[in-house]
Amino acid sequence: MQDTNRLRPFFENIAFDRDDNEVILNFGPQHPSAHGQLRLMLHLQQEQIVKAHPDVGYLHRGMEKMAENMIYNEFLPTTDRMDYIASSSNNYGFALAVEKLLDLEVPRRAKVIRMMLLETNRLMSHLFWLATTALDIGAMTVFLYAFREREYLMDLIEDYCGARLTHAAIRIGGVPLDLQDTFIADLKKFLEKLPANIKDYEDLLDTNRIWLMRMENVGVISTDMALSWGCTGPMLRASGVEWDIRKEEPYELYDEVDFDIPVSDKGDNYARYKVYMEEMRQSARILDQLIPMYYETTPELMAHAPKYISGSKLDIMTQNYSLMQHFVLVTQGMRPPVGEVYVATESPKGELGFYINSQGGPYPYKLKLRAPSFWHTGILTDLLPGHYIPDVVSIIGTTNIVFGEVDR
Amino acid sequence: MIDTLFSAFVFPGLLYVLVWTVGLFWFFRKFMAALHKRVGPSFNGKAGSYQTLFDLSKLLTKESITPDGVNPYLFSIMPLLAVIIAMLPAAFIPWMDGLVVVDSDYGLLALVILIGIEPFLLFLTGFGSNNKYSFLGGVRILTQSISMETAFFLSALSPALLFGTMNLTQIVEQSSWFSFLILFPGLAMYFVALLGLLEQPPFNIPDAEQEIVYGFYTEYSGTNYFLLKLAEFAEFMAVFAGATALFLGAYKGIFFDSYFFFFMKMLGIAMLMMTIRAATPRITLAQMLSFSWKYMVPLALLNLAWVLFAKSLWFMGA
Repeated sequence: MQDTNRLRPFFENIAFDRDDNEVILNFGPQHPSAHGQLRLMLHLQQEQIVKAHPDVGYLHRGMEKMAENMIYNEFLPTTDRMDYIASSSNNYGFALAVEKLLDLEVPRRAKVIRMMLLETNRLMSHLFWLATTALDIGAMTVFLYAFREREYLMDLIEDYCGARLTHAAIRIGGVPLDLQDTFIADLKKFLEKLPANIKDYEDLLDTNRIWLMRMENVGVISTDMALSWGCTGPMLRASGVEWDIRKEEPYELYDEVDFDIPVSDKGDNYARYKVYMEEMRQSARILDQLIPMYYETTPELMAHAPKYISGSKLDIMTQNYSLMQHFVLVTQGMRPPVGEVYVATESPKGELGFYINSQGGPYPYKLKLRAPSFWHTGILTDLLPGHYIPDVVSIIGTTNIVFGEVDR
Repeated sequence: MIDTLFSAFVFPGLLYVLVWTVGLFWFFRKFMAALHKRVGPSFNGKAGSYQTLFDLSKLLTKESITPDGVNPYLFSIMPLLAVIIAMLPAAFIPWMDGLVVVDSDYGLLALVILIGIEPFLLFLTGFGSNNKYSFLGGVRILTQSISMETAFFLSALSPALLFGTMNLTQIVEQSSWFSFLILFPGLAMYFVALLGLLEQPPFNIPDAEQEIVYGFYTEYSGTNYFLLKLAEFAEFMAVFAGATALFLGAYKGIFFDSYFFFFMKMLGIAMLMMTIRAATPRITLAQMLSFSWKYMVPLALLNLAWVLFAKSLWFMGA
């Protein structure tokens, strides 16, 4: 007879009733500050954490397996559902990986528009991060202020692609649409206001001693720890490593724009907060430089590669070959050459990597996603013990984990 | 007989507390909305004024769920007790010239004790909920009330020391602009301790939503939740009215004395509390403890010394 208990997951074997003064608190998956579906098993001595187990998988949809049964263009909107706070960066990571596989050259205007979308998404993600972290620590006002700015950006992107959260605005080989007439003017209006807004948040938070008390020297990640847990993005930069894929392996036009990488060597919550705030300023700076670059480009939006990319709508409607090619690409999908590729991009949360193994068929043979939040969830095991319950909340806040991305 | 019933059920009893709760709740929502640069309730009634009424009546008609494994009597009687205890201090407050239900020589003592019992009842609600979050909330409220009440009581006693009486009516009668200035440090300390006692930011540690899921409120729903909220707002009234009567001269006004001034003074304290609520994050339990015992209590003792000094300087010779 098989021992049924052996098949039960680890978490169901925990004895909750203990007599050694240790409380086991089931923190999540339904908890106001679990940032989605995080479940933490906290072993508590009074309010101090002795042991922490992050448990993930409550939002698992099997995206990597789904990709094996979808043509490449079909999978693209699915990537929206990973990091749903900044969905264009996921679209972009996937599109860039496929483009590298196909060896496509994207037109310059498409590159500029893509970068605009990426940086707007970074701003949206960082504003969302600021809002939720402030709320976790109890600063309701900053939450509402930051959401107001994020709302503006969401409206802006809605004007561009029609969607607010799941954009799917970047296609393999370029972008589907040119910017509409009002986009640049609206963006300029936003960029003029943004420095004052960021200063508003900093006035509300940085000069507040309570905020400093809650953030400074809480959740300190040393450089070694950050490297060994595979931290990337702001988490790594706040721990003293100057690493940004936009600088290290520039993609798109990131080597043509000026921007700085904020770094801090403290590694605590406050350092992370500072890095995020500075990154918002740098994003705004990049967007400022992109506006003149946009006007210098010719209106060409999709790469010219009839084997992989459908022609323009006009071509499809007027030319026989384009129509046939479009029909084949839509019904059967493109067939990239045999090969494998790993492409990493700097998403707002860190290194977002796509590994694609193509066997020459219309579906990827294997697709692997490397989501930064997954590793940032793992570090909680080492980071939380020794802290108290209020600090758990602020640490989860500053790690900026999004569960669409952790669970895929 | 009629008078007793009137004061028990109309003013300053049940009806008064209900109207205050509904009105203050609505005012909080609108005031916070203005600070947050949003609209706030605006759909029901003029400027959303029916919203709170609807909320409260909805809560009253909803099922109140008793969780498994708790003592149902303890679980359900605590909210009721909390409301009653929170409404009692109103009887000792001199609302208007000559209008005080119980004119006792120990009015201040009664006020302080009735306000001080409340957190222990809330602790029992958390303790009796059979939920780890509620239990943590209960422990936190006990820790917080013990540390904050010391400073609260010490600063509440300073007017009694200055005027040499615990009768609230006499305290109000003797108060003047000059005594207000002397008692100002006491008022400031009373206010800070009040934030801790009422679990308002930055001291909203016991019912921190993001940390322990509203603490002792977690398992409460329907009528019981309504009663707890009512107790919270009745407690607001008791503490605000206490501050007004002790430090701000109660009903005394600029040109004429009236309940209007009493009300405006209470509203002023409420607005200050709301502004602090909008501007500050939450501190942790350990930081609250060190703040309370390292700064508040010694300062409250120093304040008592200052009041005694001022009394010997300006009030003894007269």
